[in-house]
Amino acid sequence: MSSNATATPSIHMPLIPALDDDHLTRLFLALALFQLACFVVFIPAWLLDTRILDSAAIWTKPQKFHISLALHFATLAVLAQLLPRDFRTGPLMIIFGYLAAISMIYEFAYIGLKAAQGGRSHFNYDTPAESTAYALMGVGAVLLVFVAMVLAVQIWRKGDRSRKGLWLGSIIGLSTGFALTLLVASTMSSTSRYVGAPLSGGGEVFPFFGWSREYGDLRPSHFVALHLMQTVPLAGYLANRFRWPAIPVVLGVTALQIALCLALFYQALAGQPIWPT
Amino acid sequence: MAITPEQLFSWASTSAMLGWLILIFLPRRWPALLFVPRYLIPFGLSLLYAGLALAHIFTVEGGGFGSLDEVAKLFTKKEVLLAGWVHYLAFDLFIGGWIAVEADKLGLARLIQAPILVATFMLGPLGLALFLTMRAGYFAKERAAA
Repeated sequence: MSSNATATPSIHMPLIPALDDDHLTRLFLALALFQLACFVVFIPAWLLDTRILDSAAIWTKPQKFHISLALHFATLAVLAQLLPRDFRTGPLMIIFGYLAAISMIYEFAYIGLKAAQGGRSHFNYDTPAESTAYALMGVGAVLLVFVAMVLAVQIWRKGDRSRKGLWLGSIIGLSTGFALTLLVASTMSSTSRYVGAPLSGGGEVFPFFGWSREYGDLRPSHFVALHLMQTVPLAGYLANRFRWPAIPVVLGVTALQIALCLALFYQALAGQPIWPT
Repeated sequence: MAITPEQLFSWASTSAMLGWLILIFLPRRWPALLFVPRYLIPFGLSLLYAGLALAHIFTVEGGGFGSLDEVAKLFTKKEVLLAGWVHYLAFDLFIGGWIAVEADKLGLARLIQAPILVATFMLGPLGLALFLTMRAGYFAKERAAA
């Protein structure tokens, strides 16, 4: 039977062959690949377009979103493997997976469109249409991270506990990442990214990230909050791998990162820049 | 000629739009339905292009393909501009049809195909580049023996 190998039909597998080939994993990986492809395809525009908005090249913001969302969905695809297939492809994960997918496509399209037009996608209330679009982005942003919370609950209920660090790290990383992101982002959306400074900002910024070095800027804490979803599961994974005590490692990394996030949050609210000029 | 370029533009745009709507929203499981955006409409648009191009491109004074100025001169004639537009419509839709079929082979959800197809519809090569880059993230694997 195996001698007739040439007749074996071949299928296409996404980037990471170790992952299961089920509907939800394929969806998450495709979303990650889509965002990665966007990053690559937008590089020429990034280089050619000389427009500046709020002291950053016009395409820097979409590019940051492309990287961040690629990382987000790749993380979800990998961590979803902790669930038995039945739960991974059950209605709960599929529904929230698709809601996140729709949100991602919307954010991608609106942020890209606004960049092309040279305008702001966030904090833009210039016209009723732009206010509505921004409000919808808020809903989309919540759905984008809410799927992580749903995954955390599912892993807690049904996840593979054979690797305690990864199991615990995934639950804690996804859930605290979700909660802190919501806290920082909702503060940011009700005030502004800057504290005590005009939206247009200007002045000295962190290279690439564009965080202000002159005013309080809420985005560093937003960044730290979001990436709890990657660092804590990774810490758990490494703890298993190198036989470190899993629970202290996971809880320690979580506590440190929460502390960092809150420190940056209150520093920004106090109007202090993260890295003063 | 009784038919104005405006009339031809309108017909061409409508048929291309019809093709994209089928490609983006309708099911793929009926070959006869998929045939319409993949072959029928691009072929019709290609015939229209051939007619417009042969009748007009070579008659423009100072027009040509050697420099940007010559190309710009070509497109000052309305029929040539229309031919150029129909060229976009025909090729973009054909590429869209190819992307759809290849994406189905990869098992890409229709929801993710939609933005790629819309990008191809609106910005042609950008959509193609997106899909080609994305597809590079897949590789062929032998199906496990039953």
